[in-house]
Amino acid sequence: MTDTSKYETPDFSMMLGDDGIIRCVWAPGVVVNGELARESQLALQRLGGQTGNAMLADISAIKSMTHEAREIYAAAEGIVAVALLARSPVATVIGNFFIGVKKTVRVPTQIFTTEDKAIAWLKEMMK
Amino acid sequence: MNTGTGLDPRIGEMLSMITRLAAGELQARTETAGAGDDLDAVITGLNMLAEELEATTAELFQERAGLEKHIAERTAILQSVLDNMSEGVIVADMSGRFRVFNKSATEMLGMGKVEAAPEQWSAVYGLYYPDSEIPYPPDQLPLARAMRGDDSSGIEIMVRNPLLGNPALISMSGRPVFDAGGQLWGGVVVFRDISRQREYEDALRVARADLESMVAELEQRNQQAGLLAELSDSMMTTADEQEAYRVAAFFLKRLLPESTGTLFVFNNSRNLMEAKASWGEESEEDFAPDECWALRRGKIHMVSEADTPLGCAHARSAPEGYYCLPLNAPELLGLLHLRLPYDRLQGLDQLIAMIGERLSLALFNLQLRYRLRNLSIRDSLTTLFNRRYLEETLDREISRAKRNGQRLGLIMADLDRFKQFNDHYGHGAGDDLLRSIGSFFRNHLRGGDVACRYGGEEFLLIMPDAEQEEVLRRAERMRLDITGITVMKGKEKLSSVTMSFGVAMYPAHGETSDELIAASDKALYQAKDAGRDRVVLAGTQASPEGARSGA
Repeated sequence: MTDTSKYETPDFSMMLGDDGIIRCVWAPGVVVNGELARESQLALQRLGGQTGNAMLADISAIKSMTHEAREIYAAAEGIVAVALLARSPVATVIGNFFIGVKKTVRVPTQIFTTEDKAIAWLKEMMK
Repeated sequence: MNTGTGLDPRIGEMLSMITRLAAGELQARTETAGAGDDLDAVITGLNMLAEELEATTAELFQERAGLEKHIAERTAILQSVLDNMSEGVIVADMSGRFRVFNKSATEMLGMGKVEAAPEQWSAVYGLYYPDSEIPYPPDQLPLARAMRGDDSSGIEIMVRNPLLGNPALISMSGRPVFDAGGQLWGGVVVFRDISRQREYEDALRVARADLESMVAELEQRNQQAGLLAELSDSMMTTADEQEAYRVAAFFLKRLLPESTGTLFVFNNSRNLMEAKASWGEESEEDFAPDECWALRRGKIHMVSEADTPLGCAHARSAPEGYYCLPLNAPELLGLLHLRLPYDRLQGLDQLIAMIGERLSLALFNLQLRYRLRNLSIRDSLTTLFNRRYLEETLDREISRAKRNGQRLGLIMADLDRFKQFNDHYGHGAGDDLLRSIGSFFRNHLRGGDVACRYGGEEFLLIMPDAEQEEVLRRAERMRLDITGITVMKGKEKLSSVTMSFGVAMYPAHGETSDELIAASDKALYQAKDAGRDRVVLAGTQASPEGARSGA
């Protein structure tokens, strides 16, 4: 029987927690391209069938994110907020680049270096 | 990562990447070492910037291509519209450079746009004031005025460009053109070729003038036709010939107000053209038919210059021309002699011919009328008036005498022994005698006297406004002269005749025609009874012997 609260691929894993937060952890060294972005969006739709969910994306280990992937994420809808967990200089650059360059991001998005702060912000956003 | 040279090789790769980006190689990237250190972060950021640059540049190129395509399409549509307009359109910027110059403008001006300063436009394109050789001032051209911010409308300009062939007349309107900021940017003119339109307008004007002239001519002819008809009608209803001729002169003056002239009637017995009526001048003299070119040639004759050998001998010399118009129906009836100033002679042929036709017909009718009337009131043998006419006339003359307080003499005359004359010489001789008596009376009477054949060899003579002595004297004169009448029968001279006269006077011997006739008849009877060849006054006794007059 398939677990509908979890989604796993070699490049990322996604899980819906009881707190309504979807946690996505990207594998080390992954280059997030358009294909992976679309797949992660599909996974998000499956896990967060109802609105009101938020997402915590741990991008600390990715290698980079392509322009196409950024365009896809910028146009995404359906969740309350996204907290980017960036615990490396590279991830911080990627996260800031995404937020700073893509002014058209529709979902409130912020970068955090600790999970606690990220969760706290997400819960605040979910109220 | 330190390579021992003191400088991480990733920095060199980044420098190389930046150089390639600057050269336009937007796909240039730098590989991270996977160390996750700050330099990898810089490289990652740099790569992402390069990606954005590449993507944005691609988008811009795509947008630009779209815009260029859009502009090209719009430009093509605009150009198509401009080139399919029948009006010429020229747009110039403030420097005088032509920015739009459509196909019709090229065709109408005979040449396309040239690089020429505004002050040279008139000379280059051959622009002139309409119907003149004066070049159009360049600074007054609608486009130059539009470039100064002024409107102009319907300015007519003549284009005399040798490349055009014939000069063209154009109507041009100009408007200033402003940019998005409201600043004067240049000017636009729209113009059209009105040469053909002007030709049509001119032709229309000429046609209208012709039409008005024709209408005026028709009205004039209508009026003339009316006058001609009135002329005929009036002449038909005149009381006598003289009145008819005066009426003719009156209408001829109205038909040809600038004319003077004379109406001649042909007297066949005298072979003379007799002046009967004239207008505007003294009547011309009577003349023989062979003195007139028109009568000799049998057609209308016009003299339109002073020194011509074709002038008629009957026409007096005058500083004007004339028409001689024979009046025939079909034999010669008369002649219309019309004088007009030389410059008024032309163009009247039709009217003159119509006048000739109408006048000829009117004269013919008039003469026919009087001929018929003569037949009805005259005795065919003696050509004296007949008894019917006498009865009409005597009543009228008595009324006139009564009205004017005048006297009137009535003489009844009878040939003596006419029956014997007839029996002896035959009826032919008798008729000859009566004809001679007719001539005798005509020659012995005054202008207003009336002689009638009362019946057989009996005659009545009315002498209005005459005293008794004068009547008796004239009767006696006739009695004496009648014996001088000679009637020939072949070579034989017949015997002379005598005549008896009975004289009655109004009002002494009667106040009505019947009374006067009865009185004169009784006096005649007395003259006969007393021996014939004598004059007896009513109310007196005829002398039985010797004295032939009862006066």
